[in-house]
Amino acid sequence: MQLHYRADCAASHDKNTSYRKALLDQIDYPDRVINLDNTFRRRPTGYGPIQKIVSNLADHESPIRCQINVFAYAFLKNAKNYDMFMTADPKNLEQIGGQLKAWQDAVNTLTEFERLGSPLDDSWLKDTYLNLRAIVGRASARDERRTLVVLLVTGPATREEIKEDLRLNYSLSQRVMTALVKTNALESRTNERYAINLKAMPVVMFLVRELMGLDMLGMLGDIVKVRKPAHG
Amino acid sequence: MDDLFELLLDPFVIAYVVLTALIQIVFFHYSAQKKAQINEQRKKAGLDDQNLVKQTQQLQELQQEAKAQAYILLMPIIYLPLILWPISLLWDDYKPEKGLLLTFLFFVLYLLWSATDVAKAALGGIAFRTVTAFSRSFQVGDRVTLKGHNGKALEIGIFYVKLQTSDDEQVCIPTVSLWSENLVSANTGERASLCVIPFYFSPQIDPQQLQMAEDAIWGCMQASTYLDPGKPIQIYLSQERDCIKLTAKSYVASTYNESLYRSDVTHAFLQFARTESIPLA
Repeated sequence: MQLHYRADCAASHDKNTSYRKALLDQIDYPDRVINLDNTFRRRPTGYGPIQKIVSNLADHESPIRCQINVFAYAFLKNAKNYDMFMTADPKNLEQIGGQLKAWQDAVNTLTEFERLGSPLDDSWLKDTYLNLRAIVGRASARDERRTLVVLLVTGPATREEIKEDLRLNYSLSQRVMTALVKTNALESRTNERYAINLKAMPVVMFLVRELMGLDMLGMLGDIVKVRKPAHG
Repeated sequence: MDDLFELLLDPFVIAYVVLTALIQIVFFHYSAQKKAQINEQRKKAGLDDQNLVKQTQQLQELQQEAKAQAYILLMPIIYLPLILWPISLLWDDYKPEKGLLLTFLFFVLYLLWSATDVAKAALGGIAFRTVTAFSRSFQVGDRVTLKGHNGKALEIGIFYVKLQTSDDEQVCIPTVSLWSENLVSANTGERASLCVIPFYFSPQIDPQQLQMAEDAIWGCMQASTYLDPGKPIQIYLSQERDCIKLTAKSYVASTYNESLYRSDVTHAFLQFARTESIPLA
């Protein structure tokens, strides 16, 4: 995001400098990896920075390496066709494929647990699931469910960012976010940002799928399937 | 008439009738027991009555249940005579062939031309469940329109199909009556369903504002947490008599959240329209 702000500033202050030039001047390719993680928010006006960065770098003669949250990439691939000009590294895809399998197994176990009460061996996963379910499983927990979607798709966010994304006219109270953090599904990070606990990812993905219909596992599976290298 | 009575008063014929009825009763109790066990297991695991998993998995169970019910009804009627008759050969005193054949024919006639409405309803219901389960016309959890009633299919039973409407009313539609009805499902087993949202603009809107509005609606749909981003979004314009109509078609990720999705997109767009002074009709 700082890359974008500096390029924007430079372009607006100096008529001889375009945004693209200011951006490229900051990139020390091929070594530099641009972090795109905080460059978009899922709101009508939230795609500005990432659109500007990507559209100015997409036609560069040599590839420029970027880093982005895999869930954000899955969303942008489906919503904005970003996979047309941002191809994933095959080595990363293999790692994602391995992680995906582990998550899929955990989600299947949670499905059978919810459906039939089948025993869940992982007691931490079970407790986290029951605790989070007790909050977001209620029909009135509309904002809590949407918060999970925001954190899952766009990554760590502050309470203010969540409030802006969801157009709430009140800030999600400290009490509610604390309750979500106490379930162990969310964690509080530096700069007052909240994020999904990686260990609890299957729980969040399962609840988001069943309560909001959003199948992030399926979307990630499409990425790994489509971009798998020909030799295996 | 006495001969007929004598034929039917045979122990093997009585065994045929009793065993057929017993098998139905045992199966009914077994199914009820199984459902109770699952509920008990879920309670012990710390889960409440609300089952969050509604889609797709239940179709397989419905298919298995429908198959089992059909077999349990028909197989004793067909196979029991074939089992009882060889056993009767061990006794010289009994020659139940005619009695068994007659009883079998009675059962078949009873199935074909059921004497009571309950039997008709049950048979029609079993047949409807079986055909529905394998033709995938709709399943439990779908948003359906049946006989003018719109709602979520809670249960496809032998006697009733239960719907829960958006006003939280429960509508019970006799299953047998659905044979000749059109069955409309909004999502056919999928989680997502198409959502069509119209927007109306003043005819005085200028082209630049119209383009801004179209872009804003697109952005509002993509920004909504209820959207299924994996499905296409389409926007169409049309001229109405006193307004310009913009129709936005997109898919809500969970069909049960359609109203929330519409509200979310409309709210976001109205805020934009107010900020940018877009003239609405």
